[in-house]
Amino acid sequence: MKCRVCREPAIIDIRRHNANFCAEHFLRLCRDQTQKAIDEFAMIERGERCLVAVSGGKDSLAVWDILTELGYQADGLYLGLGIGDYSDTSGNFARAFAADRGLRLIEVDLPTHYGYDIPTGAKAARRAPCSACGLSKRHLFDQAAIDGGYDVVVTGHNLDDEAAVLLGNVLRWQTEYLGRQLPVLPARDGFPRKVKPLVRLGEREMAAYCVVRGIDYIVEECPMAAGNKHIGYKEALNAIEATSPGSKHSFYFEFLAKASERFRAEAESEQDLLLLCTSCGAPTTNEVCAFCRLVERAGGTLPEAGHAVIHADGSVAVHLGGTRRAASVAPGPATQVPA
Amino acid sequence: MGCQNGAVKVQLRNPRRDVEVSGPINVSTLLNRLDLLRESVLVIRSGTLVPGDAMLDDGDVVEIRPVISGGGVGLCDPYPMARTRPCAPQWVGT
Repeated sequence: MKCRVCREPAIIDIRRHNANFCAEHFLRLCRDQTQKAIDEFAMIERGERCLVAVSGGKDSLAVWDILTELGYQADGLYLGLGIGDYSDTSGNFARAFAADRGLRLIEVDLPTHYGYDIPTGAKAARRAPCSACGLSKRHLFDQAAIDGGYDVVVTGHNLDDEAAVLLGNVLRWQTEYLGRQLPVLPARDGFPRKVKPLVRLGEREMAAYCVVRGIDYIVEECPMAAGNKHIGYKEALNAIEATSPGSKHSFYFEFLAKASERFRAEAESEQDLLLLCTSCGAPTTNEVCAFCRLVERAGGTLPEAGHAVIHADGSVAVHLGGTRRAASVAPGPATQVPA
Repeated sequence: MGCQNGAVKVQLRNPRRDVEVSGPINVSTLLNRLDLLRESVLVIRSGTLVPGDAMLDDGDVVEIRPVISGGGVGLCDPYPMARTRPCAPQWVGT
């Protein structure tokens, strides 16, 4: 196989592009596709401060690396989930990546700062582990972004992630979720803007990007996620892709172009119902938000106030407070958020 | 990197295990024999990606690295706290 660009020996074939690439031009492809997504969906303006949600896996480290290479100002936030050795190892990969590149990594540790971990928290709250994990991540990344004055939260969702989520939502016709499955979610009512710059790149390309760039990441799957439906959907889509290259891309991007808008109204109707959590001030439809309920059921604690600790190596540990929005909106009875 | 017994040594992940196959063998043929989809894995030899048409010889050591990852819930749902069904499936990202 030869590189489509330079005709030198290729290292990777990308069937949906019907093309092969050498290392140099594969990296260029990844950067170009990321920049194209950023521009096409108006994700990030030059000069804005990005907070990258870092897990220690391939996608989050790759997007952090690519954004930095493209000249964007990006810090990372690693959330310690308390999932035994898996969390220990993934945290080490995130720290090593940041240290090697002189990047700023913020750390929040659930057991240390909130008194619970995902396995016990999920059990106590009678949630699936992935559900408790996602809820915790969303809440704490939102909070850290707002507390830290970041303009945008960046996640490493790739094309495979989005196509699998879309398949799951379509199989159940989760119309409110379909209406907000977008590459960019604008800032609104206490939520920071969230963007997915890797939507034009597949999961295999992201793993390959890390190998070519020499980025060490946690290859092992999260023990909590083993056998979940999301992975099953990815495998099903890959079986389709094997016989029909480009199917995942068409499925997702044609959805965005032709169908997404049709579900927008249903998704937006929920926005009018938002209140402010009486415990932490986060937007919610209930008096107490789902995160605070999770922490309460798990026997954890919400800190009263947040502060940051800067370590000698330059990494920053943020001790998040429970009064995020109380500074601008007084806590008390639930308050209607203007639409 | 060589394999002492003269076969192609294949290192698999999740769970970790090793298998040996007789070389020479084409990468795509190897994946088919192991019932693996090319879209779901990378093949790495001595830290370098190996394309599908490459030949593997006896003595080669290759890692077949899965690329599928992720839980079912993500960070990009703007209004996750608004849900009134705590245990409902949340297909909003990974």
